[in-house]
Amino acid sequence: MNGSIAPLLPHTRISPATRIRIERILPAPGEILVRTGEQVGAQQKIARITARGEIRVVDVAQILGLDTPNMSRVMVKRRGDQVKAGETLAARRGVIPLWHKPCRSPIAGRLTAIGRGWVVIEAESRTVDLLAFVSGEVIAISDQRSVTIETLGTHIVGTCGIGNEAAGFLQMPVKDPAHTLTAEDIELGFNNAILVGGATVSPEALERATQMKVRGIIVGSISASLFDLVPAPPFPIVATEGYGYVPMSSEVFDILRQAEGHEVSISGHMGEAQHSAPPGIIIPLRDSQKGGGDFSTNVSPTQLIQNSHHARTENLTN
Amino acid sequence: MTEASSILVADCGSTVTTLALIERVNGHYRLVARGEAISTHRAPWMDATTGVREAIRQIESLVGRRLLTQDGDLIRSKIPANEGVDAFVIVSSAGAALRVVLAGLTGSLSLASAQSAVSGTYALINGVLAMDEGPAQRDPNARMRVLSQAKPEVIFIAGGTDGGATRPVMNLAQLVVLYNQVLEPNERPLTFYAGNTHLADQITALFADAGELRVVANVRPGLELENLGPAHAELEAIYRKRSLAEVSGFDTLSQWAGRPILPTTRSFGQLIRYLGDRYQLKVVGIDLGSTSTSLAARAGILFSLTTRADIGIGLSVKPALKQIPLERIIRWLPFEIELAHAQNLLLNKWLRPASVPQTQEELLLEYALAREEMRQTVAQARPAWLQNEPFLADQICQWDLMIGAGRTLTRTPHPGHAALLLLDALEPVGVSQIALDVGGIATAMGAVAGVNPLAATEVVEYDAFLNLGTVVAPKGTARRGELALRVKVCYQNGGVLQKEVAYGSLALIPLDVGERATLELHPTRRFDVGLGEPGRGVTAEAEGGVLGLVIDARGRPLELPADDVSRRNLLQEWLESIGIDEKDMGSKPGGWLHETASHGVSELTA
Repeated sequence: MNGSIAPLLPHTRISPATRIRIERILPAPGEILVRTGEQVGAQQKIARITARGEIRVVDVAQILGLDTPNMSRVMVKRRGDQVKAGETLAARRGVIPLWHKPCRSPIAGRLTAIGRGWVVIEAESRTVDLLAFVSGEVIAISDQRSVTIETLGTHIVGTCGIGNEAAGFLQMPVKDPAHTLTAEDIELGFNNAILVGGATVSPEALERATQMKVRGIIVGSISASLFDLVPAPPFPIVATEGYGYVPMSSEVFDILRQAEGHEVSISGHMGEAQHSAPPGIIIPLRDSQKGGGDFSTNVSPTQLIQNSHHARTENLTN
Repeated sequence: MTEASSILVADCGSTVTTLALIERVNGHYRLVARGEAISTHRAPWMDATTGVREAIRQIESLVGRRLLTQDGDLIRSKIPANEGVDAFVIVSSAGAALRVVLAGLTGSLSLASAQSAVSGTYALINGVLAMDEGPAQRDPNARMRVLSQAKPEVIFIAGGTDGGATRPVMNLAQLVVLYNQVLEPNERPLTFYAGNTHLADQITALFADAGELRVVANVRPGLELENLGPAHAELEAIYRKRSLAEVSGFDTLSQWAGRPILPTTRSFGQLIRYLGDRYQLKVVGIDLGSTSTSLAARAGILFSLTTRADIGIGLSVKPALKQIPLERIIRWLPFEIELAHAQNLLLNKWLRPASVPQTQEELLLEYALAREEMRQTVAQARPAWLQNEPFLADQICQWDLMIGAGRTLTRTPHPGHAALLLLDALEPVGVSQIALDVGGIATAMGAVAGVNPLAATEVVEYDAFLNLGTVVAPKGTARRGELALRVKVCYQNGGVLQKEVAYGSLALIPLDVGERATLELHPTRRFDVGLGEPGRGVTAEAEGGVLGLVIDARGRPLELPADDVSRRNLLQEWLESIGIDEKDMGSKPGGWLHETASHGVSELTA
């Protein structure tokens, strides 16, 4: 007994030549916008959901000065009714008009619940689109809840990250995996690109990247202090090694260098749920690299990645 | 039914899975072999049986007989082929903690009881609705936001003694009903009502068609009365059904066992209760895990179990850092460290929960976090201790036995680390023994007792624990360096050793493993060795352990100097006083266990 644990090593962090299946899951049933067999681009909308609006509780009893919470006597609207902002929800009718008293809705929406003295108005819902995230073929659609996209390419599992998802063309402003990405490294022309830093990224570089409308950054490590940045970077950052200052592994760096100019998809989301996908990088192969269809005989075992985080879809639609 | 003579025990933690084989050896149940593997219920394996099988194969190779079929199933009959085991028992903390919102009237009464009930199992309190909050929090919209953000699986409503408050309790229930009505039926949380019993019918009527409601006995039937058992049992049942049953691979393991999987915290609590009752001791135990921390205490009629599912040394490092300021953590370090660097190191532990510290800096930082996590758990449990046993208020920290469990405590490079961690967390007063669950399986003994009580008893007595030694800790404060305690140690061989220990210091006195000695303790006038009377001397029996006899004259309450340099020097001095030098910092975790002769598990396993 020496404190060592049996060497059940984690999965390979780099999976080259892999058939990658990404299951894009809506948080609730929604509208699927694609068909099985369809080729989709990373930025393409593949599903849509109506997201719940703000909830407001209205204290009708207090506003109307009711002694007993008998709402049936005062309610003007019924459960399920649509209401406009300022519209009367309930009213107390006095013997003379002086005692008439209305209770108006503070927001537009739907009256969703009536309780003992209170009612709930749910603001009008909004539509949120789910993007494909990676280019590939739709191979399955399930119960208005999920779309599975398959692509051939390289999957690199990150260790940590911040932000949500992005797709763009890869650029390598640094030539060394131990290099820190600085503001000076970020040139004009990197807008909409995913940049590869070496070991880490400086706060000034993040500012510059924001100005340049960079879509995402891949580095070896990030400082936990990035969590405290206000405002947070508007793009995802994926770290391949961990927190602090850790140079990117030369294997990962070399793969990324080979993919310079290719479209990549990255996710910096750190899921709290047990089964959520870790941050990662997907580099789909270009058609010219697939060798006219023979490629599929050489691929590694299929990897299934489940991306069930609704929040990330919202950012992508911006 | 034939008594199981061969029992395989599994503790499937959130990061590490430990298995142990208990068998009859020379008429007694002994722990004969154990194995460990990474827990594999998470990605990329997504099947807990992978890690369990790996650990079983280690045991197979140690005992030289097959426990698994060629298909990888557990062989459940030892007879006639002398293969397999008679029984399989599993405890686990691997299920996701229940997300709970507490609703109650006052923070110090009904909500405190509700929190105690919830802390008996793995639950995260994601929100609290209290009637004694400020006007801003009492606004129904603020409360609805609390519920919407918390997305609870369980809402626990308490409030009102039996026959007491009604209207505010009904208002809380009404709010929950409104929240439920906004949600789709399949999204609605389960609501427990454990408040004023006289309102049960009205609350039930309120919830008709507005979500599932379970009415349980009032957790606070009287101002001075608490009744946590029924609510605790119901919540644990929900945890088993919703969380443990959902862990990948646990369906197979349940089939192998032929019985439900028990939450580890429950099993650990049963063990501490058993030790207290059987040996008439005041016992406290801390199980510091990767995801959660459990603190169980038994003293007379007091039994308390506090489970924190949001603090641990591994997968819960990140949530712990949200609650514990980094400054409080690094104050335990005998060296200077930048806050950002400390945060990065701790978050890397969170990313790789099974990793072991590679440097002295990482090691002591991990222990610094462990101290604060355990102290926070103790702070949460203490009110319940005092409330249930007010007459113990002055003596509550007088434990006869303190037990440490979990890899952080039991795999230290030097036993002094484990002792210091427990002393800093529990701040015991008087004379206590310290023991460690070195086999990593004591936490499962409560569950084993359900299958074979004798086996659990004998393994606990023979193999489960490693005795670190006896601690003497006087209570009081003085000027640093002032004499706190004179100790006279009368050894069995007739030898006598006398020592004077100054306030603010630690001292080690030799007392071999298993050796007994009589201690004559003479505290100075500011110090009390547990008699409630400063300056009064006492004679006590002590048994030696791996460390010997520890005199902890650092005072109670334990206070660290505010000045950074003085504090770091003092912390370094304490490390050295308990026998830890630079060499030990870089030692293999748990390496000292190999050098420990004649102690349970370490001599029984390879």
